[in-house]
Amino acid sequence: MRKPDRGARARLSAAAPTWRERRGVALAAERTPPALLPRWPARSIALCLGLALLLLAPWPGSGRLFRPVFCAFGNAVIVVVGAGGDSAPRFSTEPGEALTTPAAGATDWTVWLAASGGHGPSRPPLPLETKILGYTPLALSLALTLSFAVSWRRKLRMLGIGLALLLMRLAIAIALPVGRAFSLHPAAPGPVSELVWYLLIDLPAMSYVAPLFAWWIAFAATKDESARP
Amino acid sequence: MSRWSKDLRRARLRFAAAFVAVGGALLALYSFPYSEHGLGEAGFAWYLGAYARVAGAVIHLADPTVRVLGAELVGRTSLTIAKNCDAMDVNLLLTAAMIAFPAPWRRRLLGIVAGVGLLSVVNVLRIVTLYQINIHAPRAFEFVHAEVFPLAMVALAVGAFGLWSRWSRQAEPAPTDTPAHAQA
Repeated sequence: MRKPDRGARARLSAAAPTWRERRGVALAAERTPPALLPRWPARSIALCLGLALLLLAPWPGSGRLFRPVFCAFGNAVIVVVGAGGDSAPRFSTEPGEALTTPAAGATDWTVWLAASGGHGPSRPPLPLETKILGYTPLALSLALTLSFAVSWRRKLRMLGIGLALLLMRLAIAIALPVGRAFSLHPAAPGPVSELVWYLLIDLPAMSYVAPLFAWWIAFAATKDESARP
Repeated sequence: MSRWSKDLRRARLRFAAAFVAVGGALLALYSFPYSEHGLGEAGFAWYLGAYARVAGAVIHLADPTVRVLGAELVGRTSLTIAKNCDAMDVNLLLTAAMIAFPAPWRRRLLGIVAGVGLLSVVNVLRIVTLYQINIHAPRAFEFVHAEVFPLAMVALAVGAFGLWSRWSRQAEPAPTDTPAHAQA
C-alpha cells in the first residue's frame, strides 16, 4: 500500500481541529453572553406597557382601596420588628381626632401614622403617601411578570419571589422612619441605616427600578419546567 | 439541570450582584454628605446652576421672560433644580448596568457616554416640559413630576440598555482563536 505523502498528512492535520483549538472555540462561546438577557417579543413589551398604564393610571377610588391593605401590612411590620417601642405607633386611613383641620396635600393615597398609646413620646399624626412608595412597585412587578412570555407556573413563582423582595423593601421603608420618629432617644441615624434609606427608598427612581431588579432576580432564580432537557 | 443552564443562571445572578455593587457605590458617592460650605457642595451648586442655565436657554425660546438665578428658573412661573432633578440616579444606574454586563470595555465606555448623553438631553426636555406644565396645568404638575417622568426616564434607560446590550453582542469580532476549518 502506498503511504500518503507528507503534504497530504499536513493537509489532513489542518482540516481536523486539535483539542486546543476545540477548547478555544468552547471558551470563546462561553465568554459571549448569548442569552444573559431574556428575549422580549414586541407583543410582550406592548402588553407590559399596557398593563403598567392600566395599573398606574389615576383611577378614582384606587387609593382608598389600597390604603387599608397598606395599613394592615405597615402595622404588621411595626409589631414584628417592634419599631416605635412604647408609643405603639399604628397606621390608619384617617388622621383621627388629633387633627381637626384636613391636612394640606392629603390625597386618596395618604395614610396616617400616630401613637396608639403607651408611655412613649407622643407625636401629631404623620401623613404618608403610599402610592409611589407601596403601590407603584407592586403594580410594575405585576405588569412585568404577567407580560413575560413564560409558562404560567413560572410566572407565579416569579411573582412570588418578586413580591417578596418588594415587600421586604417596603418593610424597611416603614420600619426605619417609624423607629426614628417614635424612638425615646431620637439620636442621629447611623450611617448604615442612612445609606440603606437613601439607596433603597429615598431616590425617586428607586420605586421604578426596584420592581425591575426584583423581576430580574426572580427571572434568574427560576426556570421553565418545559425547558428541562 | 444542564451545566449550560446552571452557568447561565449563575451568570445572571452575577450580573445582578455586580449591578448592586457598582450601582450602590456610585449612588453612595453621589449622596455622600458633603460639608455645607465645602468644596464639594460648592461644585455641586455650580453643577446644578449649569443644568438650570441649559434648561433656561431652552425655555427662553418659548418664554423670553425667564431668568436663571443660581439653580432657580424664574419667569412666568418658578422652578428650582434640586438634587435628583438632574436624573443622576437613573444615569448612575444605567452606568452600573453597563459596567456589570459582560462586554468589552471600549463598548461599555461608548454605551455609557451615549446613554448618559441621551438621558441628559431628555432630562433637560423634562425640565422644560415641567416648566410649561406649571404654567398651563399646575394641578397636573405633581402627578407628571413624581409619577409620569420618573417612570418614563427609567423606561428610557431600560430601553437604551437593551439596545446597547444587543449592539455590544452583535459588534463583537469573531474570536481570533477560531480554527481555519470553522471559518470556511
